[in-house]
This record gives sequence, C-alpha cells and structure tokens, in this order.
Amino acid sequence: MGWVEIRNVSKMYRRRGTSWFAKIEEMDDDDDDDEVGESPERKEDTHPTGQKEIWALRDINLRINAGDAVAVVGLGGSGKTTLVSILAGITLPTTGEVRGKGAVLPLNFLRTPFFGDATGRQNLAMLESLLGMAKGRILDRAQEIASFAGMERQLDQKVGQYSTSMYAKLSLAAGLFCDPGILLVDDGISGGDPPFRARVAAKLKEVVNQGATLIYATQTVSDLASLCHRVVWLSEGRIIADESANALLPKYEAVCGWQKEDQSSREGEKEELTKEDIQEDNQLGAVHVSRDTFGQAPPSEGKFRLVLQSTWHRKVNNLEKRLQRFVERCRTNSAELTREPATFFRAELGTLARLSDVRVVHSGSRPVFLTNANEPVQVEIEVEVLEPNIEIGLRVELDAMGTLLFASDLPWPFCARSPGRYVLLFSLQEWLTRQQIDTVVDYKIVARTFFRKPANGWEDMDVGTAHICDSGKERVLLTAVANGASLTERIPTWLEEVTPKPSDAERTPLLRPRLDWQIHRIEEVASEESQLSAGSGAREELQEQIV
Amino acid sequence: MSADILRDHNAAGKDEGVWVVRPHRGTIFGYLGETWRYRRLFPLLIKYSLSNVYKSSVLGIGWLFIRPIMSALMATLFLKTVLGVSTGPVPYLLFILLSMSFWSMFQRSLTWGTKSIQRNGRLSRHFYFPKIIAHVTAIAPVFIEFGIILFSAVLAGIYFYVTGHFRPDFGLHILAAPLAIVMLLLFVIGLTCVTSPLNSAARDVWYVMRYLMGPLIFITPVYYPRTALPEPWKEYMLFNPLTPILELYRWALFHSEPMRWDALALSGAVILVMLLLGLLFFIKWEPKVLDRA
Repeated sequence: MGWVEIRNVSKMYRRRGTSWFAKIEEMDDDDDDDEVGESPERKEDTHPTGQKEIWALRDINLRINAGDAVAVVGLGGSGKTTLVSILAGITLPTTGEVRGKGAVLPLNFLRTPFFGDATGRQNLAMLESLLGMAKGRILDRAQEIASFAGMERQLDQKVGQYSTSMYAKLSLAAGLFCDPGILLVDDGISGGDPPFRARVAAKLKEVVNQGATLIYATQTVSDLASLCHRVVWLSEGRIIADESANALLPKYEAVCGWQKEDQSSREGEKEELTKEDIQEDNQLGAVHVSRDTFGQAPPSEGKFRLVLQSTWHRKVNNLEKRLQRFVERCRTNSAELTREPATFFRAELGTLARLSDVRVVHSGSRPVFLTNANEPVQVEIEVEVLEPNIEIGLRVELDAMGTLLFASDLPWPFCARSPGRYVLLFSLQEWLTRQQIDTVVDYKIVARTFFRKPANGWEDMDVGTAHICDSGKERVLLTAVANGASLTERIPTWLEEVTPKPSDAERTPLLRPRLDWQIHRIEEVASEESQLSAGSGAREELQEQIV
Repeated sequence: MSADILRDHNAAGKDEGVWVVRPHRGTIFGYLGETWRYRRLFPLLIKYSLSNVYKSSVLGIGWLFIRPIMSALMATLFLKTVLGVSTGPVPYLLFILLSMSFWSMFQRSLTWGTKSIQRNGRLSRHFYFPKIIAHVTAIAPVFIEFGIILFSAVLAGIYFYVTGHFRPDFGLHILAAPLAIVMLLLFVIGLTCVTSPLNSAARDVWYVMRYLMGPLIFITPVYYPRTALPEPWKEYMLFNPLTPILELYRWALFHSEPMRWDALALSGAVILVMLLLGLLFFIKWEPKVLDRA
C-alpha cells in the first residue's frame, strides 16, 4: 500500500550558544575534546559565526517496501525522532530527499487534543483535516473508533473533561482505523491501560497484515520481535546495522538494553567475565560502525586517549574489560587503562572571587549511587577570595536523572576579611536523611556561588556555577599505544554510543524550598591571620556554627 | 509531480500520488496548491485561534468595549473640542470611531500575525500542513474587536441620524468598505509573512514593531482627515500605503471627502508586491522556523 525511499538524507540543526554560560560550557567541552583526540567527523562542528551545527542524521539511505514492518532502534539522541519527523514532512531534511506513496500517519503526534472546549468528535474532525485526509475518513468511523478505545459514552463530551490518557487513546484508535498507508510510531506506543495497549498491538499487527507499512522507532525492544521483521539500528544519526529482527535484536539488547543493565548494576557488577559475557562480546565485535574513527587522522605519536564520562559505567556492563578487549583487538603495542579524578569545570568570576573547585568526597565503594547509609558523602567547595570584604553566598543543587531534586542555600553569605582559599564542607548524607531519600542514581551536583560587595547591594550579584559532571568523580581513561595504522580497526558500537547528556539549559529546573545548610568547617588556606565573618548581620550565629 | 510535497488526500484505499520531501518547500504555486488541498483547515483553525484567545477572559470582551470607546472620547475631547480639528459635515465622534475600527484592525492583525508562529508551535510541531494556513487564520480574532468598534460606530451613527446631525449618503459606494478591509488584511498578511518568522527567531522583532506603531499612527490620518493638513504634507502622506485604504474606507461610509484613486492604485500595487514577497519569504523560512519551534 505504501512505500518509502530515503535517499542521502542528512539533517543538521543549528544551535546558538550566545550566553555567557553557554560559552563557558563550550570551553569546557573543548577541553574534553582535546583529550579525546580529533576524529575526522565529529557530531558537532562549530560554525565560524559561533553557531554549533548538530548533525542529527547523516547520509541515510533506506528503502522500505510496501507492507514492510521496520523497527528503527537506537539510544536517545541517535536521530530516530528526526527521521520520523522527516518522514512525516514535519521537519525538512538538510540534504537528500524522501519519496513515498501512501498516506503517512505519525501516530504519536496525534496525542494532544487541540480544542479543549470541543467534543471528542469535533477533535477527530480537526485531526482528519490536519492530516489532509478526505472528508469522513476518520469521522465516518467515529463510532467504531470510540468503541475500540472504550469511550462510546465520552465521544460527545468535551475533551477538556477527559483524563490525560483518554484523548491519547481516542487519537491512537483514530490513527489505526483510518486505513493508513505508512504508519509512523515514535518512541513506542504509550498511553492507555495495559488491556488497551494489548488491543493496540493486536490492531497494529492487523493493519500491517492488511498491507500497511510500519516504521516503529523505539529504544526498548520489548514486543518488537513479533511485530517487525527488519531492524535498522541508528547511532549518532547513521545507520550502523540493517538486518533481520532475529539477527539484530539480541545484539542491540546486549548493548543498549537498559533494564537489564540497571538490574545487574543493582545486584553489583560482575567481577569476572562469564562464558555468556564473552559470547555476547564476540557478538558485539561483529557490529561495526561504518566509519573509521581514528583512521583518517592517526595521532602523531600513534597514541590516543579515550575518555568516557562515567555516567556510562552502569549502562555498559564490564566497561573496563570490554575496553581492554577492544584494545587487544586493535593490535596495539601497549594498552593501559587508568582511572583518574575528573577535572572540574572552573568558573571565573572577575576580580572578586572565584569558585576554585568542587569535589564530592566519597568513602563508599560504589560512587555511582548516593546513599544515606554508612557512606559519608560530602561536597567540598573551594572558593578563592581575591578581594576581601565581599559577601559570598553558596547554593548546592542535586540533580538526578535530569531533574533537580533539591537545592540548598548557605543561610547567610559569609564574608572573608582577607584574600585566600576557603573550603566549605557540606554533608550530603544528612541532607539525604532529612529528605528521607535512600538512594540517588545517576546524579550530578552543581554548586553555585553568588558574590557581592556589601556596599553595592545584591543588584550587581554575580553568579558562577560549578558542575560535578559525573556520578563518580572518576572517569575511565584508555591509553593505547599503537603503530598508527593498526588503530584503523573500527571502534565498537558500544563505545560510539557515549554521547553527552543534554545540557542544563535544556532542562527546566524544579525549585524546592530552601533547606538549612550545615556548615561543618570553613577553612582558610592561604593566610593564617586572616579573619572570617558572616555577612548581613548573621555573623555571630555563623561563627557559632563554625566552632 | 510539480508540487514538492503531496500528501495523500484521496479516499481511503485509493492511494495515488507519490509524495516527496525535499530540503525546501518548493515553488510558490506548488505551495499554494497544497494550501488549497488543505482548505478545510481554514474554518477549523479560525475556531481554534478564537477559542485560544478568548478562552479564559471574563473581563476580555468588556475590556474590548471600554478601550476604544475611551480613546475615542479622549480624542474627541482633545482634538475636536480643544484643538478644533475639522472633519467637515461628519461628526468627529463618528469619524474617529470608524477610523479607529480600521486602525485597530491593522494594529491587532499585525500583532496576531507576528505572533502566529509562536502561537501555533504545537500544531506545527505535530502535523504537516502548509503553515501559511495557521498564519492567516491566526489573525481571525481581530474581527471581534473590529466588530465591537464598528458596532459602537453604528450606535453613534444612529444617534447622529436621529438627532439630525448627520445624514449619510447610502449608495453602492458603501461596497468599497469591505474592499478596503480586504486590502488592509492582504497588506498585513504580506507584512506578517516576513515579521512572523523573524519574530520566531528573535522575539525583539515584536517589541520593535510595537514601538513603531506609535509614530505610524501619526503619519496615517486616523485622528484627522488628510485634507486638514497643510499643502505639501497633504500629498506626502499619500505615500503611506495605509492612507489611501483608510480614505477608501471612510469614503465608502461617509462619501464626504474626494477619493484619490491614483494613490489607491499605487497602494494596491504595493500591497500585491508585499504579499508576493511575504509569501516567498514565508515559504523559504518555514523549514527553518520548524527546526526551531
């Protein structure tokens, strides 16, 4: 009924990084890049105008025949949604073209209602027109659609009175009942209760059997095998594998199966490689990326270092062992795997003061988790005061899984009478206990400083931020020495998948009420005679605390 | 296929045309053809933008009444009573109410049009359809305010008619009033086809435009008839493309001032050029805007 042909499609987005903060972050990125070594084609290229070019898709060629059911898999940021949007005509490609035949139906985009004041039926009419369909193609079957969604009685009620999932159900049903030529599903099918989802899966199969083409983009592989017979694997905007579902899905699951990885890391990392692991590893070896990461520009001394942000520890099983095997496969002369403390981003704040360093001190064995049990976790914030008598405020934020969990301010700004380095300690453990949080996974701590000269008031407050950008204060370094050419061995996919997390600017912070700050010690490093005081009339109280 | 994107628009089961998605939206004719195919969206999106604008405003409609009437009364007080601006046989209050209905339509449609992409982001992100439809229908809410001011003007007209102050000359020329409104709207659509994509890239575009409105109202004869100006200025003002349209509008309703048809023709040409350039600009910018939406 419907086919699609994608020819040389690439998609580039421009991102503007104009703010002061974005610039500093870029500088930080550059530092990291130096250590990684220049790869000939990087995902991000800085444009001469300061704009960043992000290639979401690169040279995609794909032919999907009528009646095919194809799964597009890949981790977040691999370009699945962009591909689906281009197929739906919502986003246009930067180069290349897509040809196809048959009504395209992006199933997930139907989910939000448009008229809260209108009834479900009127919204279906809107949907029909928005999809450019012939009159009646959806409306004529409204009754059937409503009964499929189990909403016969609510069809003529106002959508504003629906619950969140009700409209999603109705629109999903509408999409399935309008005889689509090409069905696009992005990020799996969500919404609705389990029985409804089961009905949707059955109906989807029926629609595909009747000849519709299905393109199903997803990160997780559950119930894909029964639905799709072909799998296309995207990574950093490129197709790295295009095989039958039976052959490719196990490999994909081995590399990117989140649930599996999470469970195993909760049970504790396996110390030894088992037979299964080796087998799995061999399978991985068969999956190659299509480009030579180090091939075109071998480092001058035949030496390269690879840095992985350690949030990825838990996502790739036995990372170090795998790295070692990779190095062996590269036929290198020597290979060395070390862990070294991550260097932190430093914020310069003019001539008043600077946030020198922020460290998380763990005594626990597993730095990936923050727990309040038996593992003293402290944040050390080092502030270098360049000019005396400025008031310094501090805030520590804990961000987990991309959400700001809570934030805490220093109750009063502290005031240093003489220049020097000051270390502030903040106990995260107590904080967690008070918040009744047992464990925090995949976290990030951000310390922000606020400076002012008391004479000036808070108007000319300056803000500096320091990130502890990874979970464990460590990153894995792979140093390998090789004879240049032998490093053209392709880098395995699971290394390719190390992508940066979305930047802070893209997240919306969720501010919580301020908690009391526990200052354990304020230590002055540089000069012993210097004095310390608290600003804003809270001096005595603060000094009591210091004692 | 001449058009670059052709989505299926046939009845179920009869999929015909091959569609193509290319890095650009294609030619203006292809785009307009595509717009025609999606014409059923016009009434629906008009409803959508109306329901969005006046959804939760209780005072909204009342405020719409108060604002123009207050400023009409203030203008009458200062310009007519204090400064003694002459509007010929037409009572000044009636004159200003009609002029303001025209001006508010210009100003408000420019506002809604400039913000159209911003407001329709959700629809644009989820569906493929020629976005010009969302852009044009976004200015629908202006008709409410326009209607309200026109209604006040009609009430004032009835009052002056009954009291015998002013007897309008009703004839076929009254049909020129809708023509003037159509010309105005085409002009605004052409203009906002440029400002709307720009505004989605940089929100300051809207602020700049809002400040430009201040001087613009003074170089358009809204508060006074153009004939009240001294000699060279009377002519210069015709270069403002809004002036002949406003005069056509008043000419249609009052039939009191002579019409400058040459200036109107020039203004019509400007509008056509503006509309064409605007459309070309909009089509070129649409993909970029969507990337950002």
